[in-house]
Amino acid sequence: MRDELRWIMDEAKKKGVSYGDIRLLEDEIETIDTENGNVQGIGKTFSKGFGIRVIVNGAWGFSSSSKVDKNEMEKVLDEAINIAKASNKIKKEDVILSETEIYEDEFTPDIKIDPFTVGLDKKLNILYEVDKIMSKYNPVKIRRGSLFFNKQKKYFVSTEGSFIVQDRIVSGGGIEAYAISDSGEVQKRSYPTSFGGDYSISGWEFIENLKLVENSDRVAKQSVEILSAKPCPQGNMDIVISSNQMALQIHESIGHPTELDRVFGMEASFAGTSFLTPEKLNNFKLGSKIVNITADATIPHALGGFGYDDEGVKAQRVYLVKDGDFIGYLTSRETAHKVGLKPTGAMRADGWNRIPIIRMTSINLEPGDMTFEDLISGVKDGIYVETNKSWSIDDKRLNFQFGCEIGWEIKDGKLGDMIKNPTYTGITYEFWRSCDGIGNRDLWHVWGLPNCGKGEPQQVMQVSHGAAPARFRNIRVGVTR
Amino acid sequence: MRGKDEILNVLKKGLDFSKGDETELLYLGRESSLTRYANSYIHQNVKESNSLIRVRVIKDKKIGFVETNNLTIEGLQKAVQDAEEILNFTKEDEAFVKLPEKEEAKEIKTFFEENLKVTPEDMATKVKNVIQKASQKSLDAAGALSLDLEEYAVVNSRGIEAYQPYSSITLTTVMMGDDSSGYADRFSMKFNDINENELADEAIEKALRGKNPKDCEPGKYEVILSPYAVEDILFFFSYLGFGAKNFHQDISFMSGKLNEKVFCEDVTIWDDGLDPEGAPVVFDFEGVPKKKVTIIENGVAKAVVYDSYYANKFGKENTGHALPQPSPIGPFPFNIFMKEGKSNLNDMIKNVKRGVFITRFHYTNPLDYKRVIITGMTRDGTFLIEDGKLSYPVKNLRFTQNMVELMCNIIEISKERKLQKGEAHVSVVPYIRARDFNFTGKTEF
Repeated sequence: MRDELRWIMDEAKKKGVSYGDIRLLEDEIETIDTENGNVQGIGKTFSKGFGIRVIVNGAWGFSSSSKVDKNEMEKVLDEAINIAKASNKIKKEDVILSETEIYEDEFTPDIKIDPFTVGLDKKLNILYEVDKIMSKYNPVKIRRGSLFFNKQKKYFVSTEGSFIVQDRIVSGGGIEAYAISDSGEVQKRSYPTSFGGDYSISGWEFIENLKLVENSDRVAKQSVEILSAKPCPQGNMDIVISSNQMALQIHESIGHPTELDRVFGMEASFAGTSFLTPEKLNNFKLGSKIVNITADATIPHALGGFGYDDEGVKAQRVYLVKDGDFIGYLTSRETAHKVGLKPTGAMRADGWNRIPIIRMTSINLEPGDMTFEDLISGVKDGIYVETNKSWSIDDKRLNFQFGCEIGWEIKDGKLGDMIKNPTYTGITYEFWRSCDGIGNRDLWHVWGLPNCGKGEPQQVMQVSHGAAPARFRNIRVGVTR
Repeated sequence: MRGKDEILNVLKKGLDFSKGDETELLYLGRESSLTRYANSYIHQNVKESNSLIRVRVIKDKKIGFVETNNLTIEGLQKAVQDAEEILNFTKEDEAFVKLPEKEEAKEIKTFFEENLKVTPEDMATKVKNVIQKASQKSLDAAGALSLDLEEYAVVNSRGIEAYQPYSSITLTTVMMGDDSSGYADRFSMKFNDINENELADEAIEKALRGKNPKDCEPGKYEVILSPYAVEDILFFFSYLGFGAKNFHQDISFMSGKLNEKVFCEDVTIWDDGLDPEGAPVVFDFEGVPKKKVTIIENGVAKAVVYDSYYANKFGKENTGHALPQPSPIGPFPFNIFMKEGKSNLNDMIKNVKRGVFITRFHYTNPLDYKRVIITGMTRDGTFLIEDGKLSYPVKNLRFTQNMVELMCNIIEISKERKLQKGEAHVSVVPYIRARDFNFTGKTEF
């Protein structure tokens, strides 16, 4: 297959493309879902195919196919060229790619136990055990568990001479308990975080370390306790946000607005644009002095990590926010050239059949120096919230509102009563400027989010966020109906 | 496009490989072209072609699933074997009764051959027409034109052999000025029926009217919601409330409320996959013909939709609303209709003393699944209505709204309805006017 990949790129050059690349992917996915002690589904998915991207006369074209042979490659190349020629009809300026190093390399992450070698019985037994423990709590009417495994081999070959082969193995899982009161109120508690749990570029060892069984009793019990908890207070107050909720806060209010394609309006009709317009680069206070945010695709095992992006740019660590100042974007080769920056290696596609677009890598709030007790003890009257339940943000990424699964009052520096349906809302830069405490590295965790949606057709990307709990002052909480 | 005979033959070979008590093979094939534009030029122009088969094998009430896009004989055989292998590990699902039996389906045209002739040039020309209209008004255009040519087929060991080709075209646009934007979209099953000029005019009108937006303080307002926003709300009702799984798990707002009044009496909502006024699909992903289901009638909760699993489990009629199995959300209504009212949009606006006109929502998400409390933002054309007129544009607002209450607070429903493609279904929806819509925040644009 290697010869065919080189051959088709040679053909592309002969046909006059100024730039071309081909990605060939083999993908295998295993999903296991249980509900109330039954198997909801065990599914295996196999997918193979390739996509060819070309620039012809300064415009992009892309086509793809699941039929992998030389004839099909030639046909798809011709389709991509024809599409590029059609794009050329409505063009403002030629696409120019920033320079990048050319690599011939192979990248293999450090995996201890290939999860595809672990028996289904062993995987199911964990979820059955979780279910058995959670079923002790009568109000817990819906009990769910899920495991996810993904094995991928990806070839990237370009007309510039890059030839990169990358392997990737992802493991993930989580559990959920839904408690329903006699009056019909429903409350949910998840572990280790919501919407499928936590994910990592790791093997079976990651699932064992999640300790799903060990946490199932607490999760079920808390879901029941939330039913009789106080409502979230309303008004402006201090808030301490858990590490897993901070992951989504970073994702929505820092990750997306720093994507340079959004900034340039390329997502305007769907996901929106960004308030972080180019004149704000190096000229805008996005957070308080203690806020440092990195895009780091090199963190071992982080779900947003890799060896090379889908333009063949090597994985890297860059600052987006340094000492509170907005100093960087997530870029592609095309967008980086437009603003005179280096590409940050953030271009990825969610499959062989999709064109790469700018995606988050691992976007991280760098750790601070506080213990959890420090964060809480600095609050006279406020709340502590954990685990995302709902998220929403406007199309420039300014006004956000999050709901969490659970919270606690903070009174005079101590955690107090449990609260239900906590929400908080704000304007992105005002919120980050109010940050006056960030947990230390012991509290810092890289959360894997498998479901970041962007683009048309929508592409679902695996990203991650390193975060510790953090404290924010004078935030509006308790927006409910 | 592979065609009926080739696909059904492949699927029937898969049946022959199976040693299960029951077996089902679902084929999903798609050729998609998408021309995406922003800043008034094409920035993404792509085509994809993929076909996959999902195999479901059942033995002794144990169920295994495998999906593959390797459609060779070897690939198919391996997929069936892998599904059978899963049976060695899974538990019996006592609620599983049987796969559905063959039923006669109505013949409805869902694929139009003229779409096969559409070229990348044709796609670019349609986009160019939108962009030219934008340029004439000094606006920037962004959006996407997509053409999907699909084939669905299902065979199972109880005799179902169903095949349906399907074509759909969607054109969206956001017209952007310095401080305003306007949105429009169109959906059709025929490429040439998409009127890009009319679409551009609609979005341009909103963008020009939206210049110099003013602040609007959050609070409770009377609102007029356009079909774009109404479709968004109906999606959440469909996802959270109209399916049998959530209903029987007691986490739907309709749970325990059949034959009770849940919305105001002007509201009637049904699902009908066979009505050509919508975007018809003849059968569901188990090959069961679609049946019309009246979900809400004159404000009263009447029924939810079923697939074979939940119909058998609860002794109900299978309404033909299965998703590809396994489905974590259970059955789902794809073809929602909301009954028209007696008003027209102009009169509805005239009847508002003070309120807000909303074109479209953005990033809506549920805060409370059972009560259907949704938060989100307005976008691409939000206007204050004063004394019966759109008085001035307002900066976008955040809402946090119990949508069941909204449906109880409806004052008027328009006669005109729009065929509206949403996040997961295609609906036919009117404008609605409602009181006490809860705006809880605002933004800077």
